[in-house]
Amino acid sequence: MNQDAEFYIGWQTETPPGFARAVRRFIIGLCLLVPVVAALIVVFQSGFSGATFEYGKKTTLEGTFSRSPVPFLSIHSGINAAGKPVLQKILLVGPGKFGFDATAKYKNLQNGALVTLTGFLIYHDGKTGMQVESIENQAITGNQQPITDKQQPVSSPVTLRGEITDPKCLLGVMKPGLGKPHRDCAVRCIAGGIPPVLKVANTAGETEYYLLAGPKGEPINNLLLEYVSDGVQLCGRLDPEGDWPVLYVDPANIRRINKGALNPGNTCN
Amino acid sequence: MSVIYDPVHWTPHKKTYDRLIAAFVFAYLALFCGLQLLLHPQITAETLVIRATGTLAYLMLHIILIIGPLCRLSPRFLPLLYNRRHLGVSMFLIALVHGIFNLVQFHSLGNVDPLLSLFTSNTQFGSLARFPFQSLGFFALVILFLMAATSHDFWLKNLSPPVWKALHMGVYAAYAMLVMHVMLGVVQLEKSPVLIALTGAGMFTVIGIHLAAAIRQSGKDQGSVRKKISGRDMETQQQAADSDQMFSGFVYACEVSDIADNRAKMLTISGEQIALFKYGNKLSAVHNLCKHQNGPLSEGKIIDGCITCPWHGYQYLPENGQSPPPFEEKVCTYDVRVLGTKIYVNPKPYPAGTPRPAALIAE
Repeated sequence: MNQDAEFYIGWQTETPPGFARAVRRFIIGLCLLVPVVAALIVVFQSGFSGATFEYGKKTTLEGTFSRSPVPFLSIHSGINAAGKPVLQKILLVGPGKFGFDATAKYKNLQNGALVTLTGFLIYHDGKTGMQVESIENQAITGNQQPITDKQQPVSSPVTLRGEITDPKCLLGVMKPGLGKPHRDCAVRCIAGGIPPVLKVANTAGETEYYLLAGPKGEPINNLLLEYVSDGVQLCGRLDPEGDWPVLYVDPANIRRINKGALNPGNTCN
Repeated sequence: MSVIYDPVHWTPHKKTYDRLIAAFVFAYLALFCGLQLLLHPQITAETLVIRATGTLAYLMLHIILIIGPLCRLSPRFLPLLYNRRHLGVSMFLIALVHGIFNLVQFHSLGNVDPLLSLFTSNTQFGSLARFPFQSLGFFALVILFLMAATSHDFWLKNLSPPVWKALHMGVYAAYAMLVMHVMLGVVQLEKSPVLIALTGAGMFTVIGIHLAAAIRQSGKDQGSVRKKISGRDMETQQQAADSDQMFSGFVYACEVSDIADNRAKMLTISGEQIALFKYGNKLSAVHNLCKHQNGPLSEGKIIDGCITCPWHGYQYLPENGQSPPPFEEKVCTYDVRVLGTKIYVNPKPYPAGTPRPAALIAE
C-alpha cells in the first residue's frame, strides 16, 4: 500500500509541501548546474581570432586593378627602410557570398586599370581584403602609372598541407571562418566566385594563407568544393611574393589527409 | 481541462511555471553572452546568438526529456510535468532562432536559395567526419515544430490521443538527431575533451534516468500481473463451487486492505491495464490510462468523488468511467466482485463510459 497522502493537481491553487519541496530542490539544482555548464562551454571553446570586418565603415582606396589569378587591388602603402615603395595587395570580393566578378558592371574592368575603389575592409594576420561597394576608373596622369606585376608562378613545385576555406570569412566576416561548422558557408562563398584559400599552420604556430588557382591561373573554385574544410595536401607552383602568395595547383593532384597531419610542416615531399 | 477552445487555460501554477521558464531563459542568455563577451570579446554578434540559443535549446531539451522519467521515479516531481508543454514550446522557439540565424549566416546571400544550399552545399552522407550535420538540425527542428504546433488540447482531441502521443514521441528522434548534430558539427571544431564530456554527460543522464524509470516501471508492471484462477486457488472447494457462476471470468486482484482509501491498485490481467479504486466501502475498476495523455490513473486519487489523474488532473466518475459534465472524456469500465476480504476483477472491458455498479465491501 504505502501511498503518499499528498496529491498534486495542477489546477488547484496550493501545491502540497512535499511536492513543492522536491520541485524547489530540482530548481536549485538547475540554478547551480546550469551556470557551471555555461561557463565550461565558454571557457573551453577554442576562442576567436582578432580578424576584423569593417562592415558599415566605408574605406576608399586608389590603386591598380588586376584580375588574374584573382582580383586584386595593388596599392602603395608607404616606403620601406631601403627607400623603396611597399606594394600591398588587397583581395577584392563582392557582397554576400559572391566573388568580385559576380557583379556584372565590374566584369569589363580592364586589367591594369587605375581605379578608385570604395568598400568595407576585411583584415587578419597581415592579409587584407575588401568587399567592394563601388569602383571608379581614373584617368592615367604622368604621376599615376599602373603598378605592373608579374602573373606567372616563379617557384619550383611545392607541396602544402592545410585546410581549404574562403578568405572572406576567414579574414573576419565570420568567426570561426573555417572548420566543419563553417563548411557549408565556405562552399557557398567559393561557389559564388570568392577565390579559395589554403590555410597552412606549422608546428611553431605560424600560419600562412595561399590563394588557390589552376596551373594557368584559371579559377578552380568548383573543382575544390568537395574538399572544403577537409585536411588536404596540394602540390603546385608557388608565387610567394607579396602579402598574398598564390599556389597554382592541378586539382587532379589534391589528396585528402587526416586533419591531425596538418601541423607537421609546410612541405611534405 | 477545458470544453471550449482556450489558447492557454491559465492556472496559478502555469503562470508561476512560465515565469520560471522566462527567468531561466533570460538568466542563461545573460550569463552565456556576458561570459562570452568577457572572455572572447572578438566573437561576432551572429556567432554569439547562434551559440547562446543553440546551447540553451539543447540544455532545455535535456531538462524536458528527464522530467517524464523523473516523475515515474517520484511523483513529487509532477509539478514539473504539469506545464511541460510551455517549456517545450519555449525550447522550440529558441531552437528556431538558432536555426534561422544559421540559415542566414551560412546559407543566405549566396548563389542558390538558402534552403537549397542547406541540402546541396554538403552531400557527403557517406562519411561520418564530413556528414552534413546541419541537415540533422533542420529535420530535428521540423519535428520540434510539429510538436510545438500541436502542443494544445485542441490538437490532442482532434488528432486522437494515440496519434498525438505517437507524434510527440518524435522528441526522441529529434534528440538523437540533435546529439549527432552537435557531435558531427561543432564538436568536430571544438576539440576540447570538456565539451565532448559535457555532451556525453547530457546524453548519459537522459538515457540513465529513462532506464531507471523503465526498470522501476517494469517492476511495478510485473507486480501488477494477475493470472486467471482455477477453483483450487479459492479458499475452499465449497467457495469454489458456490462462486463458479458468480465469478466466471474473474481474476483474483488483491486483498481489500491492500488498497488505501480513495486510492487505487494497478492490475495487469491478460494484457489489460486496470486501475482498481477503493472509496468508502466501494470498489470500482476503470482502464488505467487517462484519455488525455495516457497518464496512470492507478496513481491518481479520488477527489470530490472523482478519479483524478496525477498528471494533469483529468477526472472520471469511478462507477461509469465518464468525466463529470460538461467534460466528455470516457474510459473503459470493468466488473468487480468481493468475496470476504478478497477482490476479484473481470478483465473483460465494457465500452468506455459504461456504468458498472461498484462492488460493496462488507462491514
